[in-house]
Amino acid sequence: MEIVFQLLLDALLLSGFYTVLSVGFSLMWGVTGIINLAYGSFIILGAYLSYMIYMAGFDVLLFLPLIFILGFLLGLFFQALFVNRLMGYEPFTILVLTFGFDVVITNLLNLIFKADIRSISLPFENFSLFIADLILPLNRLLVFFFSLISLFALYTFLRYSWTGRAIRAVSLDPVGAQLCGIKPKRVFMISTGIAIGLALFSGGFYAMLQGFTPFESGWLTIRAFLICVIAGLGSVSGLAFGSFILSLFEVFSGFYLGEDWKDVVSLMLLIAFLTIRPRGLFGIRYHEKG
Amino acid sequence: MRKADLILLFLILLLFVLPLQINPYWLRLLTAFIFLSCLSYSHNLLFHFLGYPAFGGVAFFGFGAYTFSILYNHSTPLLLSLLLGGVSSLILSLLISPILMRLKSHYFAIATLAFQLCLMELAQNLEITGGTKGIAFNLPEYSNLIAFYSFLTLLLTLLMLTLFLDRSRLGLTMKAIREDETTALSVGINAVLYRSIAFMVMAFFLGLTGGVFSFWNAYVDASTLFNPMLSVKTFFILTLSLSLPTYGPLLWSFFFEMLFELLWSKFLMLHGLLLGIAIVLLILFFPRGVVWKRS
Repeated sequence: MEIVFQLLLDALLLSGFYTVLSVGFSLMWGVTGIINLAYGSFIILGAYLSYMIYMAGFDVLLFLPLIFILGFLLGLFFQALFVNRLMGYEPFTILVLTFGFDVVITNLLNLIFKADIRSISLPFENFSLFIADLILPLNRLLVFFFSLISLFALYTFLRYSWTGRAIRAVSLDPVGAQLCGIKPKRVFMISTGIAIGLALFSGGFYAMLQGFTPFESGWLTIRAFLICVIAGLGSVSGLAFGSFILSLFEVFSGFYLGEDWKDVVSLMLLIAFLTIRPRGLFGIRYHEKG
Repeated sequence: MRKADLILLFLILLLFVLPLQINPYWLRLLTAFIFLSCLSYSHNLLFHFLGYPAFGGVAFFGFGAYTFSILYNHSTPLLLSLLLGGVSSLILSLLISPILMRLKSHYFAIATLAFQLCLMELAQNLEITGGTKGIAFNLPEYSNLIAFYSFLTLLLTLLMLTLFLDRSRLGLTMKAIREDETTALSVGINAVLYRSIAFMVMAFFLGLTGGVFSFWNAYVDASTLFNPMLSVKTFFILTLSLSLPTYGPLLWSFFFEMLFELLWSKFLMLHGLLLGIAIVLLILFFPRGVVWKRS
């Protein structure tokens, strides 16, 4: 019976990371209507950036804000130079474009870093807290904690700042927002910037949690998509709940059925949700844009 | 018959005699090109005529391929196993279509992709598919030629089907559903029926393609058959041929296969990167596809 509590705790700790992982994807999808298939490779890019910082001998956690800013600039360029040019065309065009970027980034990383598994070892990697019979690995606890802080910051930004309100306005009603003097293209740029920034940022967490190679981007994108489908677009707390559901399924199926079946279970979950409730648990609408 | 059709007919007849003259390398390249265009034309039945992007349609390709491989390895005759491969994919699509057909655009695209990845994981974990080891089989003599002509026959069938749909009342009906479903429903067109049938026909042809592919490849495993790169190549071609859906896939498959081969043979280390850059640039500069017609 104790193992159930341990698994629940594992799922809870994992869900913090998953929320940060999916929040950028959700933001970009909700505001610009784009499903960014390159999202996972941006996460891996972030992981390799943290790896470089780690190899240079600096503290990764201190440099995470810098990685976020770098990602923000990258996102601005990505939206302005590539995506904005295709906004009016067949929506599928952008899907293929982002996949092209996924191929480019993955192969670039493979050229530079080779396909070996890399990892970051934190100074307190092997320490764990013990509460009763439960084990709390410190690195996971740390990631969970920092995830909460960054999510809270994002929530505050979207809720109270002028830019954040403009982003939400465009996401709810692009035409209405335009009539109020908000420039959609600029909002698209900023939200993509934040999205890519968050992707790189969560890459840092990913590197702290487990080893990585350049070829994991596809699964990360699918996870982000899955969480957005479970949660629905337009709510950060909904995403947190969706992440918790996904991590519950992953942790429990990984333990009881074996690691090999974990991905099958999460994909079936995805198909089930798409069938039964495509707008998600907390979603405002099941919409099409573009 | 239009002039373009005559040229096409001539080219296809040329393809029928060509393999007897060229060396194995070029035969392999030609087969790869025809294989890619079979994939594209199958997907195009749903994508062009009904506007449904089955991004993970490769799921049916892989399913048919596995059915073929298992049957053929248990000494079922070649043609029968090929046919059963197609039929099994059709049945699979019949089972899954009530689930997938409720979805639209992006949701449909990603749900089919998830379905594809799901089958990939299953195939890697099950006994009957040989797990991660895959299935290899003994091939008869001239297997390359048999595969080539099977692919060619398949391509010809798909091409004629596409041309027929493009010019017939049936095709117009389907396009009407794509353009405005509500209006189509109001004039008494059963949109769901047309869509499901197109979906199943697509799955059937993908299953056949899968069977021929496994025969040609002589070895199958999950990561080859359900490779997401196949979906991407297909939809890259289909996006580029948006403005010329009948001949476009053929021309672009040819161009793309040659480009891929060139990158592969000349820049082995860089080919993945260059391929990605090529995809990005082509989509960026030709978002509507390339118009070949004057006007």
